[in-house]
Amino acid sequence: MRKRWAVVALLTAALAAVTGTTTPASASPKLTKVSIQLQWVPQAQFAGYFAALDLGYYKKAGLDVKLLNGGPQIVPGQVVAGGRAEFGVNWLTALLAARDKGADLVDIAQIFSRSGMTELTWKSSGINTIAKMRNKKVANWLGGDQYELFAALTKAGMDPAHNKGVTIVQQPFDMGLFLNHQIDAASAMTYNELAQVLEAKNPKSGKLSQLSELNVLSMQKLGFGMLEDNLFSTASYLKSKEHQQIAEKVIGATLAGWVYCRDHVTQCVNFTLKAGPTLPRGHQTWMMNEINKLIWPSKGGIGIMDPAAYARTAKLMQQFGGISKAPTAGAYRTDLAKAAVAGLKAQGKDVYGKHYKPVAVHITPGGK
Amino acid sequence: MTAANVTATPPTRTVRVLRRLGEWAPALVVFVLVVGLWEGLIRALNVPQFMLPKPSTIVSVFWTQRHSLWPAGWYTFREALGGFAIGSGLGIVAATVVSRFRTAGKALMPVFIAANAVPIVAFAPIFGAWFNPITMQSKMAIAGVLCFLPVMVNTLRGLQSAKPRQIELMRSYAAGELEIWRRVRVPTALPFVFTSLKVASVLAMIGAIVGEFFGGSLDALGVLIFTDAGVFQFDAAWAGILVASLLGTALYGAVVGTERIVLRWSPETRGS
Amino acid sequence: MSVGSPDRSVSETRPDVVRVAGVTKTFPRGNVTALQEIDLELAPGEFVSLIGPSGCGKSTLLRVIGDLVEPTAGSIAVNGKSARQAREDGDYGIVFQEAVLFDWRTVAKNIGLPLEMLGWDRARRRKRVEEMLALVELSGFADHHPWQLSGGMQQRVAIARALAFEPALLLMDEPFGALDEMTRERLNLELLSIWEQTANTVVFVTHSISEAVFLSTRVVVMSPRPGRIAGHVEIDLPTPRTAETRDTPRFFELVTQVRNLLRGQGEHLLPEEEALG
Repeated sequence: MRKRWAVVALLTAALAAVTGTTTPASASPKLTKVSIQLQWVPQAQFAGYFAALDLGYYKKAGLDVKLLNGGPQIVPGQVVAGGRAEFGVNWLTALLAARDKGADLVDIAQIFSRSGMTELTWKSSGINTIAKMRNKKVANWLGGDQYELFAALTKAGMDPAHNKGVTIVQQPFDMGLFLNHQIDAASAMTYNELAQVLEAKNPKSGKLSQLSELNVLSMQKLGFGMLEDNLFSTASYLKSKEHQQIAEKVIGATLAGWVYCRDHVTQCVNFTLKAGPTLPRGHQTWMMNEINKLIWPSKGGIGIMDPAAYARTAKLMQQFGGISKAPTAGAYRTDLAKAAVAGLKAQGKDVYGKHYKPVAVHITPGGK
Repeated sequence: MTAANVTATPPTRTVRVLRRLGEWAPALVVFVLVVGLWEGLIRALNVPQFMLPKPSTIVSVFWTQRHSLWPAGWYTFREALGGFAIGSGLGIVAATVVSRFRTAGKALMPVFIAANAVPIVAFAPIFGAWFNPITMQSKMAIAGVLCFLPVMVNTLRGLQSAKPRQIELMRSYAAGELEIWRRVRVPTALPFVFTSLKVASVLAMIGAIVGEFFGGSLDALGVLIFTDAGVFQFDAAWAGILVASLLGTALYGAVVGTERIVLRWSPETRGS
Repeated sequence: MSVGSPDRSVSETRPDVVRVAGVTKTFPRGNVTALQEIDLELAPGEFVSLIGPSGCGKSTLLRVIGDLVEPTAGSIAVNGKSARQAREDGDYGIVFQEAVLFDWRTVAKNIGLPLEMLGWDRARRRKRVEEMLALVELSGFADHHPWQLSGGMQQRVAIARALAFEPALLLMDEPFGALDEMTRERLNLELLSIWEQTANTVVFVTHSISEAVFLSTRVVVMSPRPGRIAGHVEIDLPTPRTAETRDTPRFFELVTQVRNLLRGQGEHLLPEEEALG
C-alpha cells in the first residue's frame, strides 16, 4: 500500500516539474510577456526599469517584462525593428535617423528631457572649442549617438560622417583611449564617461583626474543638445488596441519606477547593482544622480514629449545632415504616455518633480 | 602519375586564353542570374530598402560615396596585407621548425592548435589593448593570427609529403638532409603552401574587418560598414561590403596569379 | 653514341663487384626474418636477376646492397668498399618500380639531377643529358614534364638518370612491373641494348620468370620465410638476344629450370607468377 502511494507521489512530483507548477493548488494569473531592449550595458541609466521590475510594478500591471542588456555592438532600433523585442530604449536622434531610412519606429514616451552629451578634452591639449578639433582624433560610440557631435563638427566646417577634416574614432565603452591620450577628444555622458575619467588615475599625473584638468564641452550649452533616452516601439506593433494597452501599461510602470528613483537614490542604486553592472556603487550613485538631473524637473510631466524640444531636435538633425528630409508625422505619440501619467497622478505620484534637488555625490577611485 | 599520350603540338596562346575565358563563363552566368533575381525580387515584392537594398542602389552608392569608401577600403586592405604577410611568413617558418626538429614540433603543436581555438571575439579586444586599438597594427595582428595556423598546418603537411622512394633516391646519391630539403621537400611542399595561402588571403581580409568591429576610426572600412548599419544606412553598409569583397578577391587573385607562375610546371595550374 | 667504358676501373685483385657474406636482416616489427645468411658474389659485367615469391627478401637484398637498409648481421662489399662507402661515392644507380621523377623538373633536368649533385657544370651536364636521352631514345623530349609521358617513357627517363653518371653497378627493383606486357618486352630489349653499351653490372629484381631468363646471365632464385637463396641458374643463351630468343627451346628449358627451383621449395606460385612462365 505504502509503495503505491510513493509511486503516485513521485509521478505527481515529476508531472509538476514538467509542467512547471509548484503545487497543484496554486494558480498564477497569465502575465503578458514583453521584452525591452535597453540602450547600453546595465547601469543606473536604466534604474527606472530595474526599479519597476524589482518593485513589482510591471507584474502589478500584468506584465512579465524581460530587460535585454545593450552594448557596443547592439543597436536597439534594429533589435526592435527586427522583431526581437517589442520595446526599446534609444535616443530620439537615432530614432529619427532610422525613420529617415524607412524604419517605422515610434517614440512613445520621451523620458529624458535634457541632453547629457559632452565632448571631453584634456586642458593640456588646448582644444577648448569644437573648431579646434579640426584634424584631430575625435571619438564617439557611433551606434546612433553621434548626431549631436556631428552637428557641432559640421557647423564648424568639417565633414565627420565622411571622416573629412577630422578623424572619427569608434569609442569602446571604457575611457582607456582617452586616459592614455591615444585620442584627442572623447564623447562623454555627464552621468557616465565623465565620472569614469574622474574615477581613474590620470597616467600623466598619477593622481585621480580632476575636472580642472578637463575641458567639458556640453552639447546642451553649445546649442547642439538633442533629445535622448526614450521608450519606443514600432508602428506595426502598435496597430492593435491590445498592443496599445500593453504599451500604456509598460509606460505607466516604467514611469512609476523613475518617479521612485528620483526620491530613493540609494535604493535604486541597489536595484541597479543587482542587474550586474560593470562599474561599482560609487559610479552608479553618481550616475543615478546625474540621470535624475536630466529628467527632473519635467515641465509637462515625465514621459510626455515637449513639442518645442522635439522640433528643435528635428531641425538640428536636418540642418546638419543627420536626416535627409523633415521627419514624417508619427515619429512620436503622446496619447499613451498621457494616459499613463494620468493614471500615476490618480495614484498620488508626483510626475513633475518641481521641487527636485540633486544630492551631493563624491567621486571615489574606481567608482567604488 | 597519368600515363597520358604526349601531345603532338602544344595549344597556341590564343587557344589557351580563349579556353580560360570559357572556364569563367558558367560563373559569370550564375552571377548575372543571382544579381538579376535579387534586383527583380526587391522591386517586385517592394522590400523596404532598410532591410535589403537593391543591387542597383548598392552600386550607385558604391560610386557616389567613393571618396570615403575607397580610401577606407585601401586602409583596411593594407591591414589585411600586412597580417597576411606576417601570419603566413610565421606559419611557414613554424612549419619548417616543426618538421626539422621533431621534439620542438611535438612541444609546439599543441600550443599552436590551442591558440587557434580562441575565437576572434576573444582575442581581438586583447590585441586592441596590447597595440593601440585605433592603429593598423592591432588589426594586422588579428589578421596575422588567422592566417598563421592554416598556412602552418598545410606547409607542414607539404614538407612531410615527399614520397619515401624519392628520399631513397636521394640517399642513393648520398644526399644530406639539407640537400633533400632543398631538392625534394620544398618543391613538394609548394603546392600545399599555395593552397593555404589562398585560404589565408580570404581570412586576412575577414580578420582585418572583424578586428575593426572592436575599435578603430572611420578611416577603416569595417568601422564604416557597421557604423552605417547602426544608423540604418544599409545601402552604404552593403556598398562597403562590396568594397571589402572586391579587395578580398583581388588579394586571392594575386595569390592565384603568383601560383600560376611559381607552379607553372604543375598540370593542375596549367589547367590541362 | 657509345657512353664509353666506366671511369672507375674495377680492382684486379678483387674481381667481385658485389660480395654479400652471411647477411641477415630481421625487422623488429612482426619479428620477420627477411633475409637469413645470404651469400652472393657478383662478377663485373654480370646481369643477375633476383626472383622469388613475395616475402623472399629480394627487394630487401637489393636495398642492403645499396646501403638503403642496414643488415642485422653479415657484411657487404661493393667495389671493394663497404656498402656505405660505395653509396657515398655514388658507385651505383638505382631504378624503382615507379619512375620517381620530380614533377617540377623537365625530363632533361630530371636526368641531370645526379650530375647536379656531383657538381658538374651546366655545359658538361647538358652534353651528358643529351647522350643519355639518345641512349634511351627520347631525344625530342628534353623539355617535357614527367606527367606528359607514358609510363614506359617515364621508366626510360629513370634508367637514363640512373646511368647518367656511369656507375659501375645498376640496381633495379622490378622496374617494368607496372607496365603492360608489350611495353615490358620492348623495354627488355632496350635495356639489353643499353647494357651492351654501358657494360655495368646489373642486379635486377623481378617477379617474372621469362623476364629474368631473357635478360640475365644468371638467375638467383630466392625463397621466403625466412628469405634465403634457393639456387642459381646460369643462363647461357646467345647474345645479342632478340624477340626470337623467347621462342627457342633452350629458353623454355631454362624457364622450366627456374620454375622448378621455385616450385621445389614447396612454395606455391601465385596464379600470375604461374602464368608469366
